Amino acid sequence: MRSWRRLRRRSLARLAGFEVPTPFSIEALCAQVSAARGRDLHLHPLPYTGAADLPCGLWICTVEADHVFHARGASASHQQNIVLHEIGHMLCDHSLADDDNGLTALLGDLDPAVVRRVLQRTRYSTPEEQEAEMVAALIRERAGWGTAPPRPDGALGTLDDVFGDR
Amino acid sequence: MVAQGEHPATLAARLDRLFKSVRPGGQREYTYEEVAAAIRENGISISHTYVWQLRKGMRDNPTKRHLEGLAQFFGVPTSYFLDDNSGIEDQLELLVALRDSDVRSLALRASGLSPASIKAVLGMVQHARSIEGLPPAEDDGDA
Repeated sequence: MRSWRRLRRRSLARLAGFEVPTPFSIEALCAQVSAARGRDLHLHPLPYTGAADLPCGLWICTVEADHVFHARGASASHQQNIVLHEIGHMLCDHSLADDDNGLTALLGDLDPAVVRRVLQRTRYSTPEEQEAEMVAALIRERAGWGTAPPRPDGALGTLDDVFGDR
Repeated sequence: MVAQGEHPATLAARLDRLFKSVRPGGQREYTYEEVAAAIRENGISISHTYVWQLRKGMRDNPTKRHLEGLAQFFGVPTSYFLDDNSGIEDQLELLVALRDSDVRSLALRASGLSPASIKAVLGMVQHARSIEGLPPAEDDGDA
């Protein structure tokens, strides 16, 4: 429980200064994130591969732009949650330097030290996924979505004072 | 020379693929002397000339210890040299794409992916690049 609170506090700090758009929509949020980062943000549907283990969301950050790939065919709210999670990674400034989740999943047969050397990374390993998910949850809270799925009518609830418990 | 997407069949071609893929800091290739010296540090006797001969296909009689030393240096399982290891080839190809596409970050929720999914991720990295109007990542640094 304590570690959950610590995670929440750290994630609140990540969100400090970031305005969640009102009225809230994924499109408006993407525009906001793009403006805040000063770079293009592209949303793409995941290619259909038939591979059962393909993740439902993927964020690729190049020197030029951000790209979020999200599962097709998922329900609208599931799709939004996928995009929110990937935006959580962006707002936390996660990079390959401190994230081994993506790399070990992708390059599991290669020696991590060698991968680091090729990609010029020095650090490896922290619970990035939890942090991204917490930031996503905080955005949902601020948007009035709470932990429940977004309202079908798109109406916004009252904004929780998520910064209140600092 | 092995084109992108093909899997090198010979020991020389596989070693060549490793030299081209596993470059420190994504810059120049390791030199034969660097490779041989690092392997010798692990107590395996090998000369830089011999490493060069293996890569050029002039020798194809390495001991198991030599293969272990080379595999360890380049960060692949020793079986990479012996078996049909298309899965590892895919991962090397993706590593090169991540390096050459200047991918700073990549995040996904998964704990190990099938070769088909790894190919799909490679396709997404290439797609992301093409959207940005940059040339697709090259397989090696010959150009």
